[in-house]
Amino acid sequence: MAIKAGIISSFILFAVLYGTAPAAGLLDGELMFHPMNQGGGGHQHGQSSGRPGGKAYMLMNGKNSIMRMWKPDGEPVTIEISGDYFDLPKTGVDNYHAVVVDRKLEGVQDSYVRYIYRRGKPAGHSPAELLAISKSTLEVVPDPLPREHQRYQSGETWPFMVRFKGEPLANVEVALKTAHGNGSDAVSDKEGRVRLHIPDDFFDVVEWERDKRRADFAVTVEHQDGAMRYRSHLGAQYELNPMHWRSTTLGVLVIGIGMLAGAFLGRVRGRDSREAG
Amino acid sequence: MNPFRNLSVIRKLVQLAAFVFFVYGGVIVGPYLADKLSIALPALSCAYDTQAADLCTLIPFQHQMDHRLGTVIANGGNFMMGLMPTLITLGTFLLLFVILNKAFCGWVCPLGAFQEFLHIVGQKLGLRRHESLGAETVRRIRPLKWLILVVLVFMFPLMTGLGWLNHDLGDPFCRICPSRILTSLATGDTSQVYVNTANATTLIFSLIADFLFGLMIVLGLTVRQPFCRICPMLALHAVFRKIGLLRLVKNSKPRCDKCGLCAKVCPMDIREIHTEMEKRDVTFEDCTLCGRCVEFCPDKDVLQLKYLGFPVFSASPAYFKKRNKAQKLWEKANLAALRKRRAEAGKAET
Repeated sequence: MAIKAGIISSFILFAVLYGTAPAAGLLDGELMFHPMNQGGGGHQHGQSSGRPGGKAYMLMNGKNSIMRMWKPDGEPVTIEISGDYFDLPKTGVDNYHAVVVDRKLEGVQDSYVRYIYRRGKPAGHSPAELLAISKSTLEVVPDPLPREHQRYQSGETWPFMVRFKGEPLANVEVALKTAHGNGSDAVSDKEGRVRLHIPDDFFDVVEWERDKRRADFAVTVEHQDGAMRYRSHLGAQYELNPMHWRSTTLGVLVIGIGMLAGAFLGRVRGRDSREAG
Repeated sequence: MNPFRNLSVIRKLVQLAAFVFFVYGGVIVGPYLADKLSIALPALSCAYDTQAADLCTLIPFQHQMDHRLGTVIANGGNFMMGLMPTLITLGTFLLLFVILNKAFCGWVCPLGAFQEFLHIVGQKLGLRRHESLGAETVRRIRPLKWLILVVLVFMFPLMTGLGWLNHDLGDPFCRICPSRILTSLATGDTSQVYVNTANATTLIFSLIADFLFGLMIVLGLTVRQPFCRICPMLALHAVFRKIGLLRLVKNSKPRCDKCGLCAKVCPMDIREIHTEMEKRDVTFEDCTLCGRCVEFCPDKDVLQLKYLGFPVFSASPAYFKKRNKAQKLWEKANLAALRKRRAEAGKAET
């Protein structure tokens, strides 16, 4: 599958940038856009540097492309592309923004979407409004976007939605690929929805030890409409699943011990109250 | 008694509706409802529950101490800029708090409702319940909520922001809060039930959280509101209770001396409601404005729930008689009593 080969090679580049996978070649011409540090991946506290705006981003193969950023209120801002490395401009508001790069080649229209989170004041608009806006002809939309304490984590399955010209696109193959070269795929249902598994594929994981590594994944979809082939990527970060150093079984056991302690306390109190009265 | 004229029944229905709304509200109106509401709810509703309709204010307070105020102080920045997010959160909290005062605990809080429902289960199972804790036990427990508020909600996160403690102490209250486990479990998410072996801090806090959750569940069957008694939200409410529009008011009468029913039925064991003879405002620091004391006060207008000075629910002998009768019927209907009746019927037949 051509799209799979394309995104595998794209993510090998990400892996090189993040030091999480061995270096390999990159297919020519693949459109990519991603933050230059791991803190800009679109999540909340504990992941970003806390400075709204001003983060460095990288655009690969972005020649002749148009970059736009949607503010939380749905207003698009066109960003001038002056090179491969750039800072996203401040928009005067914080919270979730969507950055979309569109590129038109002969017979092919590419788009790359990332949702970024700018910490700070509430924007007064729900991210649902931002997600609802059609930002590219063909697009993969997080459904929902991980918020608050949620993050994409390895080993989890997440829902996404495919839209074409603003309408759900059914029966189309959607593929997820991680920076480590693994992935999953599924076919969208009649409402354009698809659930994709993020592989638990970080290397050299030591069980019971915390590991804060993160890497990129992309969800890719292709669709032919007349003479035009559309291709769209949704880029995001995922992190190593904390269940590698968290045990639910032990948690249940400790809850059980707490319940036993509660029963013991209850009996003692019952005995005391009977003796007292 | 008509159940819809029974304040306790009305309150349980409100609690149930609030529980459903704050735990599952996102299912109906989308998962981002919290972004439209306050994110400073004066009740325990957890951000780890991704379908939540609003978030407990203790979450932003801890994060702002850690990521804003502490960081600004440590880096020599503008103190007021560092404090501003906390003030905004406090302002939002107060806007909501003024409306219901401490009734957020007794009428809205999902964790408070869960404990009340647990107690009903205990009653229906016929478990031997402890209607009130001893005065000495209550006296010893009361300072804990203040300690948790000061140390876990403000001090440790601030010290983390200053760089004096490790990042795992940036949100220590959330790490032990039973609401985190309860509300996530209620949505079918088991990810918050864990022992975290990442380091000594996470290990200790996760052990405390799980133990406390188990303890609360079993104690809740026989003891009224076990966690509420140490909840830092109760302490935070106590700080601002003088600005709330809803109040518990007492017009003492000499008969009050001999009665004491109000203290007996109080789920938080506030004996001062009975013993206080001078003050009119008896919204004490542990009061959750549930109104039970008003329901079981047999003297006309001795106890009242007042909103903006206007009585919204007042003690009355007629209500007391009906309520007391309804309570006795309710208490009789349990598994142990049913078994006893069957056994007696069996004996009579033989």
